Amino acid sequence: MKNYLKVLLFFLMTIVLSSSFGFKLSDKPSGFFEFPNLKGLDDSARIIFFHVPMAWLSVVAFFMSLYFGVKYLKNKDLTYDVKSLASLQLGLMFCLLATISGSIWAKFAWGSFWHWDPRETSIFILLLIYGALLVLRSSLDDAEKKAKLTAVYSIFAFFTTPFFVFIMPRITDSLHPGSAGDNNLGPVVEFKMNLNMTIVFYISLIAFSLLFYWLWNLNYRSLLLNYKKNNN
Amino acid sequence: MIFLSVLQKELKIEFKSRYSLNAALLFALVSVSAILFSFHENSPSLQLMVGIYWVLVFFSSMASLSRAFVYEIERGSDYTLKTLTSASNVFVGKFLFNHLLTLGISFFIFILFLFFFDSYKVNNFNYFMFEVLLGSLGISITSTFISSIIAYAKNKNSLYSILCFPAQIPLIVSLIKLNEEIFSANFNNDDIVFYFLIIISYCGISFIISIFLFELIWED
Repeated sequence: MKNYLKVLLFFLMTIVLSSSFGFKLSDKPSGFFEFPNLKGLDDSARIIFFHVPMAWLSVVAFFMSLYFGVKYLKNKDLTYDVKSLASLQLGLMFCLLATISGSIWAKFAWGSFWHWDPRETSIFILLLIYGALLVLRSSLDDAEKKAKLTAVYSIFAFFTTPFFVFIMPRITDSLHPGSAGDNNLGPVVEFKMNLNMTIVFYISLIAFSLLFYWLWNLNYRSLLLNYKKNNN
Repeated sequence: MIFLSVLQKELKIEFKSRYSLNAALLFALVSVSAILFSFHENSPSLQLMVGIYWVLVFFSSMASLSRAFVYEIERGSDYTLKTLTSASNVFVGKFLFNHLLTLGISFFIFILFLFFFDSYKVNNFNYFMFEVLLGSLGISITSTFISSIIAYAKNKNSLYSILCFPAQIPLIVSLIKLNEEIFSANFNNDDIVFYFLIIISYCGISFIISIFLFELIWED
């Protein structure tokens, strides 16, 4: 990653960290440095700056690994497979982080760590798919078979599970903020967040995406070196 | 119509060894008896039985459906098939065989349930039969396809259910919800249509995707 991007990432992350923990909550926010106090969420609302970007990145990573998998099937070039693996590993990590942070939040907001809410079900399925893909990879020896079968399985999983991962949580009633039946909060992201909260949220999305790109790039290069070492 | 000859071949092999059917039926019998032992005299609620029914169908079919491609690769007979016919014919033939097998398993477990559990009361038998037909269709499409993936891997059996489960969750969950709805005395017609549509679209999507992707797996 270019150096100026690293500097930019440092600044954005500093803004996100300091504002998400430093800004006070008040019922009638005045000025830029106060967040609105969301009813029923209180301080736990601050998780939105970390939990949502993680969940978003895990989905992005899944799409990236799918994209590179399709590219591999088209060109039979193993570097695409390495790219796909790099995003797969990072995706699993972010998916785990989103699940853990979300379930800790749920302990305080809903009273239990795991509730089988539609959102929880959907991220659980995503975790299962990631896990299955990595187990599949580790049980194949031939590099080309590995690349091909992983790509094929991720395409298959992508087409058979979208009902639950992307559509169901949005059309069914759920306790998660932002769902269809959420009456007291409504869709948090669109309406109830103040301007400053929205700004910090989007900065956080950008910062995490940059961080993801950096991690992905490092991971890809090290995996590629590893691959070349093993094949020479 | 070459896929019918593939189906015929599968049936002949199955009648010779009876491996798949016996394994699945015994698996079902063992699981049902384990459930009976764990409940003792308590009779479980109908809702619980419906869930257990589909979980049993899923895992019993897992016990046998993986053979579809595994034994071809193990014996090396996949090359013969490749020279004789196209990938889609092989897939459709194998999937039809698996569909028959899954149907057999579902009926067997259904009869066991009727026999052993007093609380298992069947309402709307026709709807239920239609659901079993569609459900075994979906299960067999996905598991035939996954079986072609794991045929090349090590430790096949454990991998098989790991790969099948995430791909089949939407199907299993809708089947359970639909079945609950069908068995309840006063059901809502709209809900039933909604779940039937989800299951039908699942079958359609997974069939089309499998046919396309299977050619990639099968080609070399």
